[in-house]
Amino acid sequence: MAGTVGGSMLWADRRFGMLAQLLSGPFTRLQYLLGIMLTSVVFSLGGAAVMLGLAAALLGTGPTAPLALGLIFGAITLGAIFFGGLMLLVSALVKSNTAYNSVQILLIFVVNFASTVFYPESPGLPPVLRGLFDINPLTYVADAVRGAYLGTLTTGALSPMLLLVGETIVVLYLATRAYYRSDVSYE
Amino acid sequence: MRGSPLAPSGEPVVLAQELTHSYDGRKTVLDRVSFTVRRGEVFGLLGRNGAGKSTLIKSMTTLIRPTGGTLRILGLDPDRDGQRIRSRIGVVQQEESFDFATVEGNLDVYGVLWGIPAAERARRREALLQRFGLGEIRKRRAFDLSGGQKRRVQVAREFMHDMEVLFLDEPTVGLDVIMRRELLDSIRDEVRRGLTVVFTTHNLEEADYLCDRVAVIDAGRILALDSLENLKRLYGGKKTIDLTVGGVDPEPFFAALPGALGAATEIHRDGGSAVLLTDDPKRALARIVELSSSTGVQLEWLTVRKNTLEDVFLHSVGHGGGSNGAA
Repeated sequence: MAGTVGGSMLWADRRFGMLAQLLSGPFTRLQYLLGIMLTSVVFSLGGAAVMLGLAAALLGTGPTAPLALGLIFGAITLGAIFFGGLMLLVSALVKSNTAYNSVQILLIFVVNFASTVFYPESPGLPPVLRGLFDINPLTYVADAVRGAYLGTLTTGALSPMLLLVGETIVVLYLATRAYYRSDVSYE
Repeated sequence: MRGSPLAPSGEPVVLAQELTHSYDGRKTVLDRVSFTVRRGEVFGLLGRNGAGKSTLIKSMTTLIRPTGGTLRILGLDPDRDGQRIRSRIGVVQQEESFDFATVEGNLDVYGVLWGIPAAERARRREALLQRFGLGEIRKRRAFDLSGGQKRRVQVAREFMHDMEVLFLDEPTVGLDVIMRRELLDSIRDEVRRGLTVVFTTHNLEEADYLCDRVAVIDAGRILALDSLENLKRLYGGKKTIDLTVGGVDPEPFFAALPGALGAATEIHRDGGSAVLLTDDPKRALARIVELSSSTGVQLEWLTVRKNTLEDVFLHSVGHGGGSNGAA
């Protein structure tokens, strides 16, 4: 969920006046956008590296093949861009501090717990929750990372990842549009 | 609009023609604004809160795109050359804007953003910390500072980079008298070195102290635009009378005042006080004294003085409790 850093950065920069100040400097809006997306990805990859290190220490084994590591970091990068874009969209649309925090907490809660990050999807789940699990992009990321880590990844994981790519493109488009249309500061 | 929108001489660094901006096509905040700022000039935008000053600054600093008219900054079109313009200007926003860092950290970050080499950055940082009296608080987080200290950091930070035009939106808000004067003097020093300054204020004294020319703006329109001398001369034929009444209910006095003084006298009322602009102060004083006797109010203050920029502003804006009997 380090991917949400980007949205929070945009929110804080707007709230504390830095966005207007930065955008009156020799930078473009796109450069700023790319900057916060890059930060989201770096945070996510940094967090993932720490978690991988801990997992390797606890389990006594870990992925060493370049392909597995590439898959893990690729999936995490994609997830970071998706969730970074999602929070960017929220921060561009929501103007109240309370509303932003509430939406962020709700999203983090639902996205984390309705995914396979902490536990596998149970067969006994109610259909609504199962549906949430299945459409949750974090499930795709978690499954891909787990599969790559344990060496159990099959070609069946390709479809969810392609779906995630599509969802990321849509979210990024909406977020960028909202960001370009939003005010640089709230007065 | 009084005065010429064109600067007397010099290369134009800001050129606005019929500049208009409205939100959602309904609320017009800039209404056909035209003016020119020449190189090396200090140009003041004078107006009340909500007059359109900040919107004008945001237009000139490329933060918003005006919905109509023509704007050129340093000869460049903000629509096409926004980044080039921004690389040659400095902006101090009205709102606080800080990085989560110390005072010196904020200066450093700004230097990094502007691509100032490390050695030069350190030199400029030390010079600015000293010049703006920030040495003692250099290690404190900017967010923890007082309003005046934050403002100083904001202005100082802007001088970390080179610029041709500096836009200041209400730069002295929150500063004490001494710091305000020091800041204005610092800006004056930079102007002597060739900097062009456009700044907004509703503080008439600092506009009088700093500006070569001012534009009085209200409800998105420029009401008067000229050098301070010319603006004051426009009202040179008139004298200003300040009066304050007390004692009984002042309403009958102020209600009868326009009739007693005639249409040639402007009246700007503020509670129990009023500022009057008149061609014939001797006659006006006599009428005021007569009226105070007949209505039973006590004249607590009554003086005649020369016009100031405040009188120009009041005359231009035409508010402040009503003008010429409108109260």
